[in-house]
Amino acid sequence: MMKKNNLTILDIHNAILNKKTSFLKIAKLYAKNTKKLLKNKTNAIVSDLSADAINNAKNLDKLLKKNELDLNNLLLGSVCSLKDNICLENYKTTGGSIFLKSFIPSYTATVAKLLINDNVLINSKSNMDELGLGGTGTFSGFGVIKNTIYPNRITGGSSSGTVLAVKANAATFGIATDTGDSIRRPCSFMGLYGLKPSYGLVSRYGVLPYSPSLDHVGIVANSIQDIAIVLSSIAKNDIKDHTNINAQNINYYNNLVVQEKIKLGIIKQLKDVWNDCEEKTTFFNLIDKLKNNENVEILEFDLDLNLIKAIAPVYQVISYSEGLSSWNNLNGIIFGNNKIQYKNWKDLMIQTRTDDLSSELKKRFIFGAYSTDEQNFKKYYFKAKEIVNIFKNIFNDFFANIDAFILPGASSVAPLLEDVLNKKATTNEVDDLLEISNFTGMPSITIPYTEINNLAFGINLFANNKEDLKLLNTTLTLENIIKGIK
Amino acid sequence: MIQNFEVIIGIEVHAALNTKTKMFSSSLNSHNSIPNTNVNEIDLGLPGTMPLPNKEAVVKAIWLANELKMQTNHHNICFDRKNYYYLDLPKGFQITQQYNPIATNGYIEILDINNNPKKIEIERFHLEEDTAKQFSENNKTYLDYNRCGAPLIEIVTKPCINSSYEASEYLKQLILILKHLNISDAKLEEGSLRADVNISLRLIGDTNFGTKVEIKNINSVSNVAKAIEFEIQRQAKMILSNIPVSQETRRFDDKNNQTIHLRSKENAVNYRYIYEPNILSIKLSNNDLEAIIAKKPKGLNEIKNELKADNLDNEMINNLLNNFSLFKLFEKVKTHISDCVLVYKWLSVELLGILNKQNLKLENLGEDKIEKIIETLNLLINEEVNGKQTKIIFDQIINSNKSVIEIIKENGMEQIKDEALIENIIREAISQNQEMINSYESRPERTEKYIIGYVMKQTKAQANPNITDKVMKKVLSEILQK
Repeated sequence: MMKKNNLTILDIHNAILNKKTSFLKIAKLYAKNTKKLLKNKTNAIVSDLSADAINNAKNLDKLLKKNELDLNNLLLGSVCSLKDNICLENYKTTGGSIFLKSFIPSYTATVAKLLINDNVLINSKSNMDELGLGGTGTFSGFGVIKNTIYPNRITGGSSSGTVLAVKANAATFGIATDTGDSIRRPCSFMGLYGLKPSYGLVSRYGVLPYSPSLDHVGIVANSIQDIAIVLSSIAKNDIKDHTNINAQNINYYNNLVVQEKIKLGIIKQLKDVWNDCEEKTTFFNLIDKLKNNENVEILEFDLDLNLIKAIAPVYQVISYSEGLSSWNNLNGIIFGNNKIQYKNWKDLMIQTRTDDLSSELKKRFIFGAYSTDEQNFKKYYFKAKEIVNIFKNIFNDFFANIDAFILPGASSVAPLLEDVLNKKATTNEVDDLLEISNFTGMPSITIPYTEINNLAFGINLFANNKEDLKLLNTTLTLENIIKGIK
Repeated sequence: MIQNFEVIIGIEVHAALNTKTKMFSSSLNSHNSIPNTNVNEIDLGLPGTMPLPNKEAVVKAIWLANELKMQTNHHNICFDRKNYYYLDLPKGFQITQQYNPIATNGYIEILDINNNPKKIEIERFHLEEDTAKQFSENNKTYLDYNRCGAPLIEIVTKPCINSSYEASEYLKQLILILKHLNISDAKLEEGSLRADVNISLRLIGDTNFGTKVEIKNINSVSNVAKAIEFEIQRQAKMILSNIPVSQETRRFDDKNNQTIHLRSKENAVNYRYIYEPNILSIKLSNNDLEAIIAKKPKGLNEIKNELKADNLDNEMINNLLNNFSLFKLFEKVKTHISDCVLVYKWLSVELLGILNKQNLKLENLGEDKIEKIIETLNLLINEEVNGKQTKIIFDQIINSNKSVIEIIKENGMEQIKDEALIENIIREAISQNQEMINSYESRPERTEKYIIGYVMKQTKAQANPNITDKVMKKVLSEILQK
């Protein structure tokens, strides 16, 4: 019998190969769990596409009978939830914003096309912090995400709905985006695997932007193997995305091998900026154990405290500036809420932006406008861009001697929703370190490590730019070593 | 009093590139299509779409840089966003090259009013995209997105132009370059070229610049000159009356030949320029650059020298350079006919005359008609038809779809080349007027003229003149020898 929870892509593949299930049964299972999320008013799902997924599954069953399916395709029949900033032609794509509540794109994102080509069943579009601007799951125009796995806790964000859908077994895996830590932070909170690949490895064409120089399309999944399988499908060249790097068509799953020895880096200042807490103790206990392991070498690296302190403002300046610019198109002329009565075009723009954008978005956009104002752009926007280059150079040098850096997935387990809403729980410099890989474009993965007071706590690894395979292999090796230690 | 002022002018030209597709999308770049037919999701700035820089536009920019003797930033071609809200700008930003223009520091050489060469220095030019076109009807505003995202080059001079004469010479020369290098149609009247003029006055000897006024979107070279002249008078009057000139943007009203206040500089928009994050820097090597330049169409000086070698005089050369369609046709026809002066005359006088009479445009002349024109000119050179007939044939080529042979047949222009037949007519002429033969010794031309006239009359001018001449000489020598 198949497990009831957290099916992996490989579970499904094996069950199909061994004729223990049908595509229809799988699609129905995920449909049921998707409906459960809707029924429980989690706000995790914006569009339930499971009827389509079921139809496609029936078709796959027919093709399977006729021996017309490529059974080497590991993704066959897996079910995916797309973050609702990934466009599907003729399906509503809202980006979690009221402004786009009825926006139906005429194009499909390249990443979705690739999955559909590999016979993945897309059964939902999942909710998110508005247009990706938010890290908590509390900033969607369609309501706060209710965490049914860890009640009263936030899921984290902005890929909140996608992560909840995967954790609640309403999808085998999810495709989401990560501008600061939007995939990895919620994965740390929810005990999932979240990969932000190298910048440009996965096409962003058809994916709603937040801050295009920091935006990455990535994966939420139940295992490192699943991450590798999905990455092999979506890391393809795309002529439509000028920032796309020349992907080598690597099969990350076939090349997933445990290494004899791994070299990990740790930022020395992590200890100084992290206030004492159970999470800190847990993390450094792990580091101590790894130091004593003959298959692991741990090297410490100095990162100027001023640079660590600069991460948050640099992130804010760049992402809010680019975010403001990227969403200047929310002006009601080509698309938007057509019920507005207006005197002239200026009036239309002002009204529609006033009515249909949330206050969090407005706050961030004002910040972006301030940073790029003629009076300020040298002080803020240009300076921030310079600091990004400093990070690129420093880390490129660091990686000469190590395979990957290791960090906590977040400075804490998932905070209480109430604390977040009351602004009692905020992020700190430990959390900010995750953004370094957005600055530099380096691949970064968060995996489950343990539970603290019954709440998930993850660890994060990041490798040098374009070393996605090395990152996955280092992570796989570390995971094996950790199992041994435990 | 105006002689006491020095006029300082800088010109910004926006030229629409004639590339096949738009600057950042695969939509067709065509000015003549039905509104809103050349539009895709990228042009409309729909969420999630991404721009792709147009290679052809980059190539043409490099050609222009080469022709204007500019430095190119080919190692690092990158773009920026100019952010502002306007109804014709769907993305809410224009992709341009604020921080790193593709070309800097060049010049165009003109002749100033005293016929002395003067270099008009060009500070920079950059690639960018156009906005949608708006027009009003019945109190409603309509938008045509065909133009939205069309490629533009913005060319900026240094403030080194000192008169309306120099300004128009510069523009004329620039337009020639843009046309002949196949970069832009460069038509001010049609909007494929737009000129903004910055102008200020200062007392001669003063080292500080006066307050500059910008005149935007002037729609012809002559209006540029008129706008400058008006502005010189206006600013001089203000300065002489101690009224400070205010920094403002004006437009030229071509009905009343004056400039009119549009907005003051204090209300200038804050454009919040940021780097365009969706386009990586394009890095061309020096070899790439050379390969692109190797394919550059002929430059203006090269064209002039070639035309000189074709025996054309200066007036002809200037006429050709100033009429791009005529030049193109000339270039095509001259590959088939070696007598370039003849080609020039028949195209520029006769063909243009016929077309102008009927309000037809040379650029719309079909390939088939051009081939017929070449065929006819070859017949003319071989004296198979004469000049008068050639005019008739040209006229019918334009006004019908008949072949040259058909036209010749229908108009009885087929030549008689039968020597025996011609000889008979010649002998007939001689027999009817023996006196002409007798006076041949003393006045041979008169006799020959009589005979040829007779043959032409009898054959309705269809006798081939060469053959007629040859046969006549033969018959005459026979008769005279007897």
